[in-house]
Amino acid sequence: MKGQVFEIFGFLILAIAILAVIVLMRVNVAGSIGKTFLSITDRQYSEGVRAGINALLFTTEEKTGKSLLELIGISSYTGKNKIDFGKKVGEVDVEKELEWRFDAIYGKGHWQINVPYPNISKDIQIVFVIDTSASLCDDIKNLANNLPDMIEKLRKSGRRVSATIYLLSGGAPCCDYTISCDKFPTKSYLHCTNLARAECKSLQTGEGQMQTEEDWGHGLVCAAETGPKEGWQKFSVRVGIPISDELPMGSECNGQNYCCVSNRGAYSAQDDSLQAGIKASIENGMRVFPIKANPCGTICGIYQGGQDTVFTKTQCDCSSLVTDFMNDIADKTNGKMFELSDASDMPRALREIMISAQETRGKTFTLGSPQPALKNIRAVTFLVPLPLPGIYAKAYFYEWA
Amino acid sequence: MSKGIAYSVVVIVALLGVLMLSVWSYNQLSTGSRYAGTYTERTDEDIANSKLELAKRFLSQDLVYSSQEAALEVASNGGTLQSKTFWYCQADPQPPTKQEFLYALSNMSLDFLNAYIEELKDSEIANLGISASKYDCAGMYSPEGTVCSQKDSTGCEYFRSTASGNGMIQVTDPAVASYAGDLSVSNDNNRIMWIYNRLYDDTKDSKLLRVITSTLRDECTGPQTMQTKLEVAFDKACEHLVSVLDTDVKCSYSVLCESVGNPIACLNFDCKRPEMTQQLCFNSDQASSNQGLGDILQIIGGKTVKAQRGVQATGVVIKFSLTDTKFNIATSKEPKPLLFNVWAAFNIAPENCRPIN
Repeated sequence: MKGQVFEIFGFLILAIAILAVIVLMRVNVAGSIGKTFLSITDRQYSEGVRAGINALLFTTEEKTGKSLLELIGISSYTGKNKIDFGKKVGEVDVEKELEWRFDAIYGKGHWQINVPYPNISKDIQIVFVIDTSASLCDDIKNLANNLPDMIEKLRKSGRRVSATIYLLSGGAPCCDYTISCDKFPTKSYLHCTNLARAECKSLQTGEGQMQTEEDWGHGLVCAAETGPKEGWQKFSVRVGIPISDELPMGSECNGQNYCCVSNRGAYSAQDDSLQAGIKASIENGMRVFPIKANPCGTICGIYQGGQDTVFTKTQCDCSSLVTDFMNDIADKTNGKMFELSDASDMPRALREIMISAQETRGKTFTLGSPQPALKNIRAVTFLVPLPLPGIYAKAYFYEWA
Repeated sequence: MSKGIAYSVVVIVALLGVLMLSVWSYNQLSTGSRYAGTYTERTDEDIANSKLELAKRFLSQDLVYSSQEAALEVASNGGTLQSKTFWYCQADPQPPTKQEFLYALSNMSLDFLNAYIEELKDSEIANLGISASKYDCAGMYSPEGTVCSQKDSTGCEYFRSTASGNGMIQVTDPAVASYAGDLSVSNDNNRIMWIYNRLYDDTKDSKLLRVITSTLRDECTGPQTMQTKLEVAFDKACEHLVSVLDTDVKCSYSVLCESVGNPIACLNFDCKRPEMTQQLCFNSDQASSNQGLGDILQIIGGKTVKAQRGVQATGVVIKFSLTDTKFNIATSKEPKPLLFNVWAAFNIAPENCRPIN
C-alpha cells in the first residue's frame, strides 16, 4: 500500500514536472523563438520589398539606357508620362515601363507609387523696363511708393525676390518731381539704373536700337540680355515688367501726333521693337508681365518751363493697340498683361504678378492600384533626384499581399 | 516496500532524466536564439550597407543629371564658361582648347553635383541616417581613341564623368558604414564631345570663314545688295556646319551685328579670350592648343584683285546655333536637344572678289 502511494506520488510529481517543463518551454523558449522568427520573417519581407524597389529603380530601360529612377524623376517633374528622347531613341512611355516591371515583381494590383511634386522655392528676379514720359508720372510715383515694401515683405516670408529697375532714356519733369532713379531706394535686392547704351550689351553689338523714352521693346532686349544688377542666376524665375501707356517707340502714326490704329502697317518700327523684345525674352527664359498704364485723361507735367495739363488723345486712341502689343508679348513668353484703371491700381498689379510668377506646382505622379482597406500595407519612402540641380522629390511606394 | 522503493527510484530517475532533458533542451534552444540574435544583428549591417549602396546610386544619378545639365550649359555658351564663346575673333580662329572645354564641363558639373549634395542635408535621406560630403573634382572623359573626330558619331554618343576628392557617403543608422571612393557614370545619348571635336578640327583650319569668303567671291559681281550676299554666304556656312556634323544637326544663325561700309562699328570690342591658366583637376591628355591663323586674306590664299563692284567692307558678329535633334536631354524644364552655339566676329574685306576672266 505504501509502495503504491509512493508510486502514484512519484508519477504525479513526474507529470507535474513534465507539465512544468512544457509550460516553461512554451512560455519562455518557444515564445521567444516564435517572436524572433516572426521578427526575422517580417524584417526579411520588408527588406525584400525595399530590395525589390531598389533593384527596380536602378534597372536600365533598354531604349534610353536610363535608370527607372531617372525616368520617374523626369516624368514626375515634367508631368508627362510620355517623354520624347529625340530622333534616335524616340518616345518612352514611363508609365508602361514601370508598370510591367512592378507587376512582375509585386503582382498586378498589389502596389502603388506616389511622387508628389516637390516644393521648389526658386529665386524670383524681376527687371522693370519703364517708360519715362510724362504720362507715367503718377504710375512711377506709385511704383516707387509700393515696390520696396512689397519686396521686403516677400523676402521676410522666405521668398528670395530681387528687382532691378531700368528707366528708359528720358526722365520727364513731372509737376511735383522728375522721373529718375532717385525715387527708388537702393538696397541689396533693389536697384535702379538708366538704360543707356553703355549698359546695354545688345546695343553695343548693334542688336536693337533704342529710340525713345517709350521704346520698351528694345528696352526689354537690353534688360533680358543684361539681366538684373546681380546677373541672371541659374534656375531662377525671370520676370520682365515693361510699364508704359504707349506702343514701344510711341503711339504716334508715322511720327505724326495722331493714332492710326486701323493702319497697323504704319507701326512697323513699333512692331519690330516688340518682336525684338519677344525674341530676347524667349531666348533668355524671361516671362513678361506688361503693365499698361491708363493712357486716357490728362497728365500734369512741366512744359516750356511751366506747369501744364495735357490731354493724351493720341495715346488714348491707340489704347487697344497697346493692349494687343502687350498681350502678344505676354502670351508668347508665358506671362500675363495687367491693365491699370489708374495709378493707384499699381500695387494690385504687382501683387498679382508676384503670385503669377511663382513656380506652379505640378501634379502628383501616381501609378499602380488604389490601396485596399484592411490590408497589411508595407511602405517604402525613397528620394528621386530631379533634373533640376539640388532638387529631390519624395516618392512613396506601397505594397500589399 | 522494496517494490515501492524500486518504483520511486525509477520515478526519481525518470524525473531527473526529464529535468536533465529540459536543461539540455533549454540550452540548445537558447543557443538557437543566440544564433538568431546574431543573425538579426547582422541584418542591421546589411541594412546599412544596402542604404550605402542606395546612396551611391542616388549620387551617381545626381552626377548624371549634373553632367548632362553642364553639357547643355557649356554647349549653349559655345564650349567655355563664358556666356559667348567666339570661335572666330577678328578672322582668327580661336576654338576653345580641349582643356578649356573640359574645364568648363568639369567646373559646372561639380557645382551642380554639390548643389544636390547640399540639398541632401535637409532632405528625408538625412533622417534615414545617410549623409554625404561635397566632392572636389568632377572628371570629364570622352570616348578613347579618335572616335570623336570621325564623321560617324556612333562611337562618340556618350561621355563619362567622375566625382572624386573628399566626397564621402556615410550611413549611421542602423549601423555605421561609409564609402569614400569615387563615383563614375556614363552619360549616354549626348553628342557634345563629338560636336566639339568635329567643330574644333574644322575651326583649326578656318573652314567656316573660307566658306563664307568663297561664297562672297562667287557672289561678288552679282547685283544683289551686300546684305543679300551675306545671307547667301551665311546659309552656305550653315550648310557647311551640317556637313561637318550630320543631318541630325540643324543649323540656324542670327546676325548680331552687321555694319556694311564701316566694319569697326561692329568689331570695336574685345573677343579674344585670355589664355587659360587653370589646371584640370583630373588627368586628361586630350588638352591641346590652338593657334591663330592671322588675316582672313591669308586664310583664303590665292591672288585677289580689286572688287569689280558689290562687295563692301563689312564687320559681322554672328551666332551659329547647332541643334542636335538626334537626342533629347533631360533638363530643368523639358527634355530638349543639345544646342551648341558658335559665335564669330570677323571683317569682310572689299578685296575678296574673284578676278573676272
